Amino acid sequence: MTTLRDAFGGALASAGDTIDDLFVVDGDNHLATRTTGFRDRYPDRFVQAGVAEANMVGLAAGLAYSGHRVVACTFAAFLIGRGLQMIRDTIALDRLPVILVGTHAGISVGQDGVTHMALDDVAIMRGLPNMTVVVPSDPRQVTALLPQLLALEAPAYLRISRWGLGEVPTRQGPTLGVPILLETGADCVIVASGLGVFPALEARRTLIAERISVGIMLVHTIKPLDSSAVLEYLETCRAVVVVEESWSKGGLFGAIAELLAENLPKTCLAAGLADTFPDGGTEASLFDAYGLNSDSIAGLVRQAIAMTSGQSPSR
Amino acid sequence: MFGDDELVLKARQLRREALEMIGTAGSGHPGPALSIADIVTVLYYRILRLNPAWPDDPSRDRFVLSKGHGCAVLYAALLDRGFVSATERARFRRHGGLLQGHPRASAPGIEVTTGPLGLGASVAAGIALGTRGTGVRTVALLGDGELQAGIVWEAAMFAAERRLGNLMFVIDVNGFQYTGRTSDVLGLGDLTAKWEAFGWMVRTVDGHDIPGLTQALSVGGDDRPTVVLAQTIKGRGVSFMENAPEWHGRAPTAEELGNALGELA
Repeated sequence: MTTLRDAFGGALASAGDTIDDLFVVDGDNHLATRTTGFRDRYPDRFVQAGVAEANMVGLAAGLAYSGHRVVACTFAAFLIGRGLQMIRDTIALDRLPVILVGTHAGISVGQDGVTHMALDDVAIMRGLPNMTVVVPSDPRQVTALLPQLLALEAPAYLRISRWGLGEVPTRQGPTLGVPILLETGADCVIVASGLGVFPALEARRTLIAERISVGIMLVHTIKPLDSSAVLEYLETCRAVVVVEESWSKGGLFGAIAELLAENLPKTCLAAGLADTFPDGGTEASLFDAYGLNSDSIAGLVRQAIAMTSGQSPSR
Repeated sequence: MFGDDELVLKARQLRREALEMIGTAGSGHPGPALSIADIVTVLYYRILRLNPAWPDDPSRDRFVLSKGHGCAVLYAALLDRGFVSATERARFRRHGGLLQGHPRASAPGIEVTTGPLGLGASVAAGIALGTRGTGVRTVALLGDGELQAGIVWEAAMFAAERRLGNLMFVIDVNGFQYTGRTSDVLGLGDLTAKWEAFGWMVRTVDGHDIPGLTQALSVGGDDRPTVVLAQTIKGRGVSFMENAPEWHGRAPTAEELGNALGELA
């Protein structure tokens, strides 16, 4: 099965075919991030910065200031962790045409453990003006969204998990910025990003059997969030649950909660990671341990609905 | 073109104008601006290929003021050479002005937004990489305290390994930083040895000597990047600001400004 990063590697090499001033910057990680394909095809446009993620970003910015398009890619934890100063004050600030690709994001890094897990990257990047933030769920979304991000010629963060859980059943490929309503539901809508959509879909099957009406909204573009579409999809449900492979604070949950608080206040609970540092382990065991499984999500949906039972019906 | 005596006068002019701008704004970094005035003068009036009428000329040389807080004197040069409208002079450090407290790339003639020390060095290496083979020179001006930042050495290692002979770093070795002498804050050790160990060609020069700077700032000889260790005096040109760390980030009062301008007349 193609992984998200395999799809990314392939899409990047293809992009190199059509964008002849596209440079790719690596930090001794191309074997894992799959930018090797681009490197082999376009060695003159592949920049090896070594284990120096802050300088990696500075080099990417310098290439962009001198007129080139750039993709800078390494593990999300280090790209954002060490590179943030440079990201903020060059790429975001001066709207440089750089796509930052953070791979191995989320707890599905697995056995390498917590230091290698980016859990706050979405929250941090969402906080930067001029930054587009995309979290794909499957290889098809990666392949479709990378060219759309490149076409922006503007700062963007593409966040890719190491793990994969198959293909999301959508009728057509994703459009940048457009949330996808996979299923409608009157009692609760689960809003999900990235790999979070898979346990969400599973939870829905359980809840449907209990006669609970549950919808699923897939949001790959966390920023800019299509507020009117999201509000439209959340208009009539009683409650909302947000699922993401991140700490909840400030990530997709933050984005949805902020939007609801300002426009459409209603119960909204987070199924992402709680405010704790996770241990490492196998991917599946971590998804179980940290609430990213069907049972936990279903429980949260029942809880959210119960919280609304004393309230007047949603408009 | 300008003779050496003219450049000496030009440097005095830029010093006056930098201090006036800081005085008008009520804040800024006089000491750090004064120490680099001669370096900036030689670069902007003799060495760098620049065209104020076409700031985006792809064949232009690129200057990055990595010690961005020294910008008042750079801004004086940009105003004098016509990159920026004269109306911006009074808007230095003001809301809506193009000449912000630290350089913004949105201002004509400013290549890279700087401020966080070390950032400019890394980006300059990226620019040198991106313009390799085009004949464009990239020159970054760093402070000596700035060399405490690790990212400078990441950039240095990369530039030497990748043979960025079109890259030059100029270090304003004035021996001071914000909270005191660099030797007291965090000693830098043997800078010549460090840069040579990183594979750079090292030149040392009196940072206030126009003919010496002219030679030191000329194109490097081979495919190694070049670092120019310019020995300077923080606050150079105003007797009460020289080697006085308290003038790192304090604007002069009207009286102090008057005295300073008198010395620079």
